[in-house]
Amino acid sequence: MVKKKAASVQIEPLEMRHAPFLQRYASDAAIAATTPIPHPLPENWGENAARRAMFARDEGSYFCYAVYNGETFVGLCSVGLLQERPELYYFIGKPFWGRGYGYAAALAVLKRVFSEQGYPIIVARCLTHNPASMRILEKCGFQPNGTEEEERGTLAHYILKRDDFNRIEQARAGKDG
Amino acid sequence: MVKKKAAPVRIEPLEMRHAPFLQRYASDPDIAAMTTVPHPYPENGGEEFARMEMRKRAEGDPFTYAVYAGENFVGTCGVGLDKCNDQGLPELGYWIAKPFWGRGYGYAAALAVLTRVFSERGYPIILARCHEHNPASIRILEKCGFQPDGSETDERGIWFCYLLKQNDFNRIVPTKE
Repeated sequence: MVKKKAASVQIEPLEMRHAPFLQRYASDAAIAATTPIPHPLPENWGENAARRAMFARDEGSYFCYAVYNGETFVGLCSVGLLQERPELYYFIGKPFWGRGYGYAAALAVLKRVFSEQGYPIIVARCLTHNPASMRILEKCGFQPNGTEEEERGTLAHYILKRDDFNRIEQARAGKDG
Repeated sequence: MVKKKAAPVRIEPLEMRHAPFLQRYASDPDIAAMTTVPHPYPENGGEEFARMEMRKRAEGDPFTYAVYAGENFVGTCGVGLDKCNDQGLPELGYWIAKPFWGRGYGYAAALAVLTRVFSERGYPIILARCHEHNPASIRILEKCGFQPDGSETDERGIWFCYLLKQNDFNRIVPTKE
């Protein structure tokens, strides 16, 4: 069996110039359905999100990246300490769903943040009616860590240990090489 | 230069016994005008709010308080994780009952709550939003060390956003002698 390689994406620290892309793709109702992003999206949400990401990066508590495939902005992926524990967040613009960009972006960001920040664990949460996102987390090595009921459905909690991630990464690199 | 000390207030975890006070004071249209408190205020709004905050406390989001000056309930103040902001940031919220406006209770309450929250949690950044026509609230935030962070617009007008770094708060607000 040949395992598909992760799609090719590049990550760049989020900046103000990405705000119009955030605004465009985050305003889709399909994004709001599975993330905490509001719908309808406030007018200057993209700007606020980009500025806060930069503010919190200076503070050393949020590492937020624009995700590109070639020249195309396809989404956002970040790890933030905003609620005490480092947590992975992401969304991929709807036109770019189904191409493995979410998984590739999560891998790239986890790799960078684990190696630069040295966090022993990173957590993530996703709604159980979002199987695409659950698959991304599980492929990255996240382990289920309980659930929580909220208004929109069941929120699955996940936890990833750095040691587990590094072990899986090495195995992955071995296969590719 | 003698700096005025914050008015003396006491904060107590919000409970059902505070519901009648919440009901009485939150029904005031002048409270609704500056906050996200609904108007007209539902008949059992005070109870609902107290019950919701107690549930949140049980779920590990415990920082909503009743504010007292001597024997008088004067308002409510808290930092919560689910105040509908989409940035994943903990958010400060408060209102002071109209009969007690103009005495510095809002500032004192915000200081007390922020001090408690920062001593118990490692939040690096706390968000606050206040309505454009609420200069008293803007002053409270600025005195606590919040920095302006853009604005959001909705059908009720403009909401100024503010961010507070834990480091700035600790520098500005001296710890107790």
